[in-house]
Amino acid sequence: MSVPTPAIQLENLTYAYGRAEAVRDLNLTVKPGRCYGLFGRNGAGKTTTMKCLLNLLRPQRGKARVFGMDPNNDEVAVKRRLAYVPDQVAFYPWMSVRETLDYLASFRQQWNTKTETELLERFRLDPTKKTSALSKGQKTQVALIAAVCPETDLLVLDEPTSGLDPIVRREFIETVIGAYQEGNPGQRTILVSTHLIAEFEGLIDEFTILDGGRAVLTLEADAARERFQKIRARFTEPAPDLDFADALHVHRSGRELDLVVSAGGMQAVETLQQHRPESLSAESLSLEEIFVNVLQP
Amino acid sequence: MSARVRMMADARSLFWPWCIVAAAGILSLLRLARLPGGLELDVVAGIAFCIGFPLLATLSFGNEFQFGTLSSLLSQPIERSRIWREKFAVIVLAVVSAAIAYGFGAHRMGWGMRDIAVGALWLMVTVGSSAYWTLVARSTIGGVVLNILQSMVLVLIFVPQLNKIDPSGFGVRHARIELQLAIGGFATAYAAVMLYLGRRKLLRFQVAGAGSGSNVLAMDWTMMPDLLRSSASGASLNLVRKELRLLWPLALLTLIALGALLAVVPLRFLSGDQSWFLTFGISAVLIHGSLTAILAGTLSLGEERSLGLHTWNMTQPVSIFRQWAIKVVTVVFAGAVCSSAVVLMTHLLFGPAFLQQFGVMFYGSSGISSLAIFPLLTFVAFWCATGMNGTVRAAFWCLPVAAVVLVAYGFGVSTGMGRTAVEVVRTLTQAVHPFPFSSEFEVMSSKLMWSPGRVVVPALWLIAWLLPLAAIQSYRLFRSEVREGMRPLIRQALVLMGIGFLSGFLQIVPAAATRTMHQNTAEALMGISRGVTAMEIDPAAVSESGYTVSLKAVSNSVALSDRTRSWFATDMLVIRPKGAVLRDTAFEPLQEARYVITAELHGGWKCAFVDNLFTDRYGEGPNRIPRGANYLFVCRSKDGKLGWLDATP
Repeated sequence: MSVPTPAIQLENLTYAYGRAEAVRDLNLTVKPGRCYGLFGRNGAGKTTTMKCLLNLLRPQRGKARVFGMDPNNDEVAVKRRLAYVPDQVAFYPWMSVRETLDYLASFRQQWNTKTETELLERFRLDPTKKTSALSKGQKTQVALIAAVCPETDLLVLDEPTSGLDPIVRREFIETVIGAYQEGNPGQRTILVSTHLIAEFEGLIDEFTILDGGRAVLTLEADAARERFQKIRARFTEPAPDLDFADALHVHRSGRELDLVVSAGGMQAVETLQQHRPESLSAESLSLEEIFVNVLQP
Repeated sequence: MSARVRMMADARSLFWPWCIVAAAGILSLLRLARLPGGLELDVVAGIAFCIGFPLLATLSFGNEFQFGTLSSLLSQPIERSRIWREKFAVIVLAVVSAAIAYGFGAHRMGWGMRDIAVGALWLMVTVGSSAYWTLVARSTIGGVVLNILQSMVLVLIFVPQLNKIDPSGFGVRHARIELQLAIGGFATAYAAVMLYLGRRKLLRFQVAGAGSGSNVLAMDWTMMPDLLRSSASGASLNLVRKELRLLWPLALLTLIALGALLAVVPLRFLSGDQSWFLTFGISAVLIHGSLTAILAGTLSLGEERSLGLHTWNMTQPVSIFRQWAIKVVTVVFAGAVCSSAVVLMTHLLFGPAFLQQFGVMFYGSSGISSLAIFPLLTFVAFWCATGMNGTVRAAFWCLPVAAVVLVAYGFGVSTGMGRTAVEVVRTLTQAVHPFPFSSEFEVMSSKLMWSPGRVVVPALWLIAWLLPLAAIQSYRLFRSEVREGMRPLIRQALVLMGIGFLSGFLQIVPAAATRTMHQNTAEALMGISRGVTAMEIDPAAVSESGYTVSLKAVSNSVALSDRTRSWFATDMLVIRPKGAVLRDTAFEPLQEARYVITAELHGGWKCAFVDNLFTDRYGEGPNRIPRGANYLFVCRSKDGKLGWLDATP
């Protein structure tokens, strides 16, 4: 059985703004049909990585491939297969919502007008309204409609939900993104960068955490939840002073002992059980907790 | 944050624009007639004055809109009136200090006292109104346009009155003091009122819209035709529509300029003095043309970059080259159409005298060819816009960039005319081509030299060198992400300067080298002529068939350098009596000549002394020797080509 061409493949991708390296030796593979999260603090290199995929920036070292194509050599072919929502959405202020969507549709070979109508209604957007009169969140909504309607194979979303109210945000993540992927199961890929990790928790299949332009952790979401565990033990006496090699975080407070482990959760539980704790619990970390613990041990 | 810190921050944002405006003023102090490229210095300084000062006065408030910092500024715990005072102090300081350079240069540019006084009043009104118009327009460009529009209206009202004042002695002899006081008083009162309105506007200002997007120029206009609205198909057409929509303010500017020109018609009948109308027409064309050209080049990309739309467009599945090509063609076309409309109207109103006068400012070229300056300026402005963020910044830099490239070109021209360069070229060409060159070459190379009334070919030469490179640079800058700082643009400009220098050098060096070489040859032949005369040859020995003497014998009478000797193909000189018809050179010797000496140079050229050849009987077509030239020697090659040695001092 042939291995499908990755939707995105980065090999040793490096880009620097002058002397400041934004991304350094980044390796990443996104399989088709997956929802891939790109997490990191501000300035970690998420937007730079996305810009390299879109040929807005040319990698100074390494290579970027989208569906096996070089965004620099096959620029239009690559862009035909993806849609992008930038972190800062802007439109021509004199255009109405209708005209903006028409303008963007004219660049596409395919445009689902039914989806467009549904989303306009769902987001309660007035098509005759000038984009200059839209709020930041409403502009993001228009950008999201423009990204979903061409039904491309890849959605590149850079902070797509910033500025959206909680209702629209939830609706977008649960309904719109879900519907987009279900439109062609196993084929439609999403690369999303967000700080609202918890909101995308159920959607993310795999993720990479970036820090200072480098990938510090790449894992499947389920494997991550399995690996990263929060263990809480309560003793009848002051908590023992134990050494946990794989612990990211250990907090001892009186009779209580909290620890976060990145591996060897079972081993840590067994060690704790040997000290006869009053109570002992172990639970998986959420992606957001993993992000915080990895970057702020 | 103290007032000093705030004012310093404000002053820093005005620093580079101030440098550019002041530099144009300092340029007016130089005792140069024109910049390299044939542009009159007065015209450059005049344009910089009329556009640079309104821009400089507008920037302090305009920058707040451009960078979206006004809401942040107004939310600080400080009175708005204090913000107003601090900003206005910085504006006044910047404008006055830059104006001083113009003040000194004004006399050199031939400004009379009346003109200087009018200029000062205009500056006062412009500075006083700048804040109000900027706050109304909510953008720098909008503020400048409204400010210049205001100036045009005031000029239309007051110029007929100003013409009643003696230009040479404002307030000295023939001036009507009441009129002067009235005009000065009105300008002061007007500036004060505008100042008050500007202050009040800031005190009551409401920050609506979204920062840099809230630009009155980018707002919807009800008069916008449906044709410019995007449709769901036709990507290229939509890109063109979008470009035209971005350039829509140019159409408004053009309508305003046309209106101002039409307003002149009734005023011609009301005013006693008619002489200023043509000046007004030319000024309108120059100011509108320059402003339109600069805006056409900068507005489209500048606004897209300010709004963050350029990146957005680049992510669409349309090749970036196509986007760039559509943009550059549309902006140059739109700018040319708008400036042509005003030129046509001015031509209709003032007749051929307009183009004649207009051409005088551009090295005496024909008016039509000098109008090409506007599309070229548009392209320069577009080039700047591709290399930096924002319309205003690109607009400010386009004239300096054009100036430095022209200066580099001028430096290349002067280097090409320098003795060292000529000697180097002479040595190199001598190795491959024995001179003299044919007259074809002389004619061809002389066409590349700038001279009054002949500018098209030299200008095309310069454009042919610079335009392709600038186009490639602009495309590369267009597709790359622009960062703050001037370094990338300076790097590209340095390359253009290098090419400009090379084009200037290569443009002038063939003509200069040919001329020098011909003079050297002519001097050598004259030395030989003198040497032959000094030999006192017996006239009886000189027959029609020719009397031959050796170069060696001649060199006993007159010193010939080794280099001179090396030019001659043979050691023999043929001397014939006067009145002989020379078969080898095919021209008649002059009666004044005692002998006609024919020498053979390398490459089969035979040259003969023909003092003061005033006829045009020699040669046909491109080989024809121009009438009235003072060529001392005429030469003919083996294959019949005619050449001449210009020994005119």
